[in-house]
Amino acid sequence: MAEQSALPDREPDAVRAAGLSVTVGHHGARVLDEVHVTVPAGTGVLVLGPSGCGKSTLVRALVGVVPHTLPGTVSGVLRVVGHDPRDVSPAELAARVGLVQQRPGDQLCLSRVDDELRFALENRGADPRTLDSRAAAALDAVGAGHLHERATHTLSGGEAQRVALAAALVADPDLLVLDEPTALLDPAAAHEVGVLVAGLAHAPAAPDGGPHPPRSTHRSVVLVEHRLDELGTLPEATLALGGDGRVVAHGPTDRVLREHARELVALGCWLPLAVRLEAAGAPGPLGAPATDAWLADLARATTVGAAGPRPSPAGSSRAALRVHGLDVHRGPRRRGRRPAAPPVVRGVDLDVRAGEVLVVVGPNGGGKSTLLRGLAGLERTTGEVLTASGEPVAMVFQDPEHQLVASTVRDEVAWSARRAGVPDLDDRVGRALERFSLTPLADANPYRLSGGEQRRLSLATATVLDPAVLLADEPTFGLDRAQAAATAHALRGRADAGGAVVVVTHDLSLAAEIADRVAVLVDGTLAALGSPSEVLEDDALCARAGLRRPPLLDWWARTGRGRGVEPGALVRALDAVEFVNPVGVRPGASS
Amino acid sequence: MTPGPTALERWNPTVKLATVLTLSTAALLVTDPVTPAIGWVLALAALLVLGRVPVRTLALAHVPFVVLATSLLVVNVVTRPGGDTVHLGPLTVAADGPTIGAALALRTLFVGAASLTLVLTTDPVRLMTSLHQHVRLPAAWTYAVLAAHRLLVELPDAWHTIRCAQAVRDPRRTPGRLPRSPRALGAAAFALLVGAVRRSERLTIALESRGLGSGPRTTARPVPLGPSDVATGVAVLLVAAAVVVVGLLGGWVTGVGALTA
Repeated sequence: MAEQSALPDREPDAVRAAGLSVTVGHHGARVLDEVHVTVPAGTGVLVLGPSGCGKSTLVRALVGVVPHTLPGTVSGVLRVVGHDPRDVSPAELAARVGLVQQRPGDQLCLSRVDDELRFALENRGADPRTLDSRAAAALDAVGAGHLHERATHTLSGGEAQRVALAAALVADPDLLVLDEPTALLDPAAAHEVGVLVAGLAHAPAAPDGGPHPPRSTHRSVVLVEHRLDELGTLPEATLALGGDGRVVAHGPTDRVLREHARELVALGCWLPLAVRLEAAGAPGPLGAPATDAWLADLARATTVGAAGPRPSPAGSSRAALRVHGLDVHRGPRRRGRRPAAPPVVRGVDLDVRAGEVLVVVGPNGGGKSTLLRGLAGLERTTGEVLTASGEPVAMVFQDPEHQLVASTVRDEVAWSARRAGVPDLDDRVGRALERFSLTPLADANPYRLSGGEQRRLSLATATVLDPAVLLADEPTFGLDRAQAAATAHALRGRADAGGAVVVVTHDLSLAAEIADRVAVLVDGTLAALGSPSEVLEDDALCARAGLRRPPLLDWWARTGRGRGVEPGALVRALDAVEFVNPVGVRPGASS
Repeated sequence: MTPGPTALERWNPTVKLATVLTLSTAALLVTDPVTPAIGWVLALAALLVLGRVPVRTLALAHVPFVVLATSLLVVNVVTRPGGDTVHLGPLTVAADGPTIGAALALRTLFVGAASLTLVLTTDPVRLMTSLHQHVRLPAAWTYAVLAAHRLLVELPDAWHTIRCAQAVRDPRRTPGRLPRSPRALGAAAFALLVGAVRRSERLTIALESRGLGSGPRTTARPVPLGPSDVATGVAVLLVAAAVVVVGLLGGWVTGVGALTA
């Protein structure tokens, strides 16, 4: 800011970047291009952008990981709490800058929670007598006081992320940098962590009442996040990055989101519901009678509009997958002669019809993934799982990298087809590559693709044989909005082409959008099975299964339902008003 | 609620490590079966009494050592020449074979049990803290080892998930069975390795973001190293020496020379 030199007593800006360009890797791929951003001390900034836009790279440059720990170059002006991260080591900078990364499990270094927190203080040479009280205070401040004796590998994603937050805050940094802290959490945990994180940007520093005097200023926060509805209150400023690593917009959050709404949606960003409604032309905020009427009309128009009525799956009532009395055990078989652990999934009866998408929802640890593995014949099962065709089912796992077996994208897609010995191998592989926009990447190494590209690859490999039954475990996890939309489109498309599709997800909007029926799995048993409306309108069921309706579906349950609106039509209608490229191909955003 | 740390757990981990290493090295110089047998029994007694290790845990932890010991015994019985011939049921073997084989097998069990006193009764954080405090192992090393240890704990689950994820891609697979062909296991191992490398990169960043290596550090739970820790080590070595002396007087101890005789 211009007046900065006139105020010599002022604290240095938390972040000041001018003409900041960053390349990563040994080949010097440019990820950030001429970025200008200033975060005054004591304020927060939200960083938005599609996958591959350089959000994580910005974080890594701020904390000095690039270029110190990972290969890459940083050019231009960069000052973080008064230091140039290129001149001090990341460990030294860490005394004033806290970091929370995306993956909950991969940022806790030690095997116990309290060791982890004490470790962060020991490294900074803190007084050994204060360590325990400061560690306890930091855990309490994030609502994780009860976790202090737990083994880190037993923590759930949400718990681990709270502990990571406490470990970043325990040394009372001036600046906290968070890289998509809720991206890999289920909605309930994401909401809790999101509210916690949003609160940090507004709360004074040193809230833990530790022995050190509280500072007068607030803590500065750089928050990379795309699940904005989970945050409640957003930081005051926003920096939006485009697919090419350039700044799309930077300024007060309200102004950036409203003025650039369409651009951000086109880039593949999620926006808060209020902004989406405004951009879609709603007459006022949600809850105003005019808006309610407008939204209900919009959804009803879509039901008979472009999307068209879906052929009723009951019409083609042929069951592609028949499940009767299914129990599923988890883990490798025959482990010693210990008394057998009880099955994780018990007594499931289920028919999945051809042409139908069945979405399975439920709390973490409820057995959703285990059920899918049981259906795929990968775990020990008792009971009956029959496919109409007798051939095994195809399945897409949560982490696409777990399924890779070949060294090029083309071979990866061809792998199953070769094993099956189909006659039209090249045609099939070519069509699958084309369908998922992978043709330009056909010779690339699968491990070098981005997360969104790997997801498309895993869908291409699973559908190359046009399987009668396709299972998908959290297929939209960690993807940006455009990628998630493309994935939803592909799954729905498989069912519309006559396949039976079973999708496990936490995302109720996805469930409403693509599901013909929704199954709710709680504690390993089927708690409910019905249409999306039947499940989503049942408050008691939602509470029992830990289903947290996102704001749009919450409106549906309270208001829209009474006006004859279908939840799926509502979600699709609002999506259709905004511009989302249905195949999710965003040229130039593949890095 | 839970009983306090056992005597073996309280013992300074660095001294314990040094003692175990000394005993294991010394055991290499002895080639009769009786001496390592006595050592093994003493180590087991220490684990059960001073370490309060459950019998079941101890038995399971012995499995790899028993396998190795058995194979050593069999190989020596069948292949080692020398000494009088002995009839073992239908087999006729040289007498040195069973003796040396038993000695090597018991030595394996003894070294195994000794190392179990380290593995089963030592908190990894305490061991690393002590190595940093008492033998000046750099903190960057000790904590890298601890982070790697944490990664190891989660590898079995990742391995199972990867095998499932790859097995499901085979349209000709047998339901309910994961492939065990070398090719399938190799592909799974590669995916596991890539995942581990990616995770270790993130853990490295996490270690730095906690300020590891930023300067002088303090220790929240210093591991005490007192005269009693050293005395315990000395006592253990004296017991070992006594076992050897008794063996020499009794005439059953033989040295390395017996192997090549």
